[in-house]
Amino acid sequence: MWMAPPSSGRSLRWQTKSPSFSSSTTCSGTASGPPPIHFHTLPQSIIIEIFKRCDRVSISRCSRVCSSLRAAVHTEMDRPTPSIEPSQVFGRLFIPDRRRAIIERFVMEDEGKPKRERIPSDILSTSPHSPPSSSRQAVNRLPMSTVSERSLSYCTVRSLSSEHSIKDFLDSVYEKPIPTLRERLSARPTRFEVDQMVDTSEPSWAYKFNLDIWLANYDVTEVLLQNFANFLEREGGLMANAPSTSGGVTSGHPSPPWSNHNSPNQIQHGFGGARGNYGMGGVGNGLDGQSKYHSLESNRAINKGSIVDELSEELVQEMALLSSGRLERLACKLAPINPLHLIFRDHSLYARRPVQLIFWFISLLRPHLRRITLDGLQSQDRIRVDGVLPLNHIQQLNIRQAITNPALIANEEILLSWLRLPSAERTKIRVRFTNCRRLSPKGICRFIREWQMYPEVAEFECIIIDEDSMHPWELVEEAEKDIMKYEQEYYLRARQTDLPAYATSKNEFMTEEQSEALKRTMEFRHAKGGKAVKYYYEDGLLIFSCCNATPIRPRSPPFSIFLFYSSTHWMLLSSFIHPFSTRFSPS
Amino acid sequence: PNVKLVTSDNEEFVVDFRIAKMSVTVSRLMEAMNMSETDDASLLSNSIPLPNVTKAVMARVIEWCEKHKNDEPKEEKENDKRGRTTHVVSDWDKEFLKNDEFGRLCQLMGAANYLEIKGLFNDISQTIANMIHGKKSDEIAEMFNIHCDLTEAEKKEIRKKTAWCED
Repeated sequence: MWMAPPSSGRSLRWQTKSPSFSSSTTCSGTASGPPPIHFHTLPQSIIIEIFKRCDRVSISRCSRVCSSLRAAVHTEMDRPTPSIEPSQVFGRLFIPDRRRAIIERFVMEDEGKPKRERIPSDILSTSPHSPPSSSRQAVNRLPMSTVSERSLSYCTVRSLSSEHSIKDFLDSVYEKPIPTLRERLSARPTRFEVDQMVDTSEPSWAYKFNLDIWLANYDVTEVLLQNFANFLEREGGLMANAPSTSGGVTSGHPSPPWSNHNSPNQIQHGFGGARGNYGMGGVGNGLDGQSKYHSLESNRAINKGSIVDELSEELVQEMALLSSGRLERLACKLAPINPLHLIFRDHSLYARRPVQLIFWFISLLRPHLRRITLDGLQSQDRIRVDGVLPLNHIQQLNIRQAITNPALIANEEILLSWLRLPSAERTKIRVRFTNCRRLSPKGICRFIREWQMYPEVAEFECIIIDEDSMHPWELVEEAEKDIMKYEQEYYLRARQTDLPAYATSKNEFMTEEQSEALKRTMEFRHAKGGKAVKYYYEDGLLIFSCCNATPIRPRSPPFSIFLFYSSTHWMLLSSFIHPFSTRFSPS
Repeated sequence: PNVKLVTSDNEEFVVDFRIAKMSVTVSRLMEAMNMSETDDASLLSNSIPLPNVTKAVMARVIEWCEKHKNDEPKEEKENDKRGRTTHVVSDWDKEFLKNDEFGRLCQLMGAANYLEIKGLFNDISQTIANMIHGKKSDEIAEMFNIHCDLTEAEKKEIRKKTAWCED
């Protein structure tokens, strides 16, 4: 349907009927001309004409922009024979190796299950204005699909005394148990849809996937790279200057200056040899006179146990040589995915796959990269994440350290590097550390101190640390020490909540004091006020969230404060009552 | 023979008859006003009012028509069972539309739609579709300067469908 832009009526009017454009066109003249036209103010018929030229994913995304585009899509979809077909399928690209790619569909929460109804009981009443605790508020901010439907977040409990009993009660009412915070943070279920294998008879076949159709039909934002570049293990480390033999580009790469084989003649000899192509991912050419990756001079500096703290120019060149165009090809295939969540997952140690390669590969995909998950990366070398992974525009970083041979050095420096980013490039990040034993309470306190004193409020979504990385009581203890030390400079409010005592997942012995520490919430206010870092512990996780600071109440006499807090903390409180009451006097 | 076209801001454009005929709307109006290629008197004495097109936009339309006046009509392809339409935008057209800011592109599209110049309309539609391709919702909103006016209920519905993937 073709329509004229909207305009007000006037004396001059005419109608035309076009067989090719199938509908009447009504035009009216105005002295001042037509009003300005924007995309969303175009007539629906024109918008649909544009959508007819868009892929399904683009149409779906447009329908989430504004009401007029949404209405255009919905109106068209309501027709008996719609001319557009927006995609409602969200997928994940799973690349287990260089030969195979799989598209997986995310399983919707309520897929294939009957809808549950909320409990019509007066035991629970939704009360957004009175959440039970700050911890619950923070949990609610996490974008969980389950929260809106069945969360306890806004529930005010009237007749049940402990949270555990509420949970038991709800578990008995609902078909499945209420997911814990940890469960809600776990990987989302996916279902296999279809896969594809590359044609290994072609030259340069590694990662030569055809993803166009998948990307047009599935809203793909997540790419899982399992055992990334582990083919290097099978290539026996003979990769440095043998690009054409490995499914990579066939043109020769310049040999690095640190290589023993940096003469062009030697490279040519390498191409012309008689080595077979077993496991090489490409045409079989020779590798005579090639040096092993680990015997490269540059590698001697990063031998076993060495620490890599930056991606130097030299290292980048070496990675490019090792990749031989294959990882660049994969990067080109993944480049259209926007936003991109890259997940690297290792299942074992690949001694001949330098972990630096992963970070170099990440650097190839920076423009649309928003989330990164480093899951169980193993290496003989260790790499400082803060040194090799700038967090510009990154919205989510998940680090799960391997139990053996962890490849990463993940500590508070990551958070500090984020804090020091230019404000335009610093996003509201969410960081999750799992089994990161280099994280220390001292380091976290250092980050919070720097955050408090930073000239601007650097908002983050949350920082989640698991118990294996850090014990909550150690953090509380360190924070208390910190307060004593910095009481003249910072403001902290500590209060007990009504959270019940939790047992740790390991059933470790806890002293009474440690058990008390689990209940503690803390609030670290920014020097400028307004925002604060709130700390709480839940479900085996230490959670720091950035949120609005609790309004300061009028100063109360000291004795009432002592009554409010438990006796074990009166020393602490007495130490900061004075600065608190003088520096943050009520308005 | 030439045809006179008058825009909404009373600017008169004198264009070649063949160019005027590229617009289905103008062509029909000429028929209605008994203007024919052989009748110079009627062409000179009459002008075609185009109240939905401004001077600036008309100049762009005429520029495009000048370039394409000798073109054969192009058929658009329907792409497989999904019915997605594909249209190849020529290099000259890409260059022609490249410098237009988005607001002007929409105006040009509105004019092409009103004048029923299918080739120009297809070029612009495809250009906008290409601009949308690969963008996130918020990037689309930013690119087209669209303010999100979705209701809370709509946002909730969207979140419900996508929250798990945005997590």
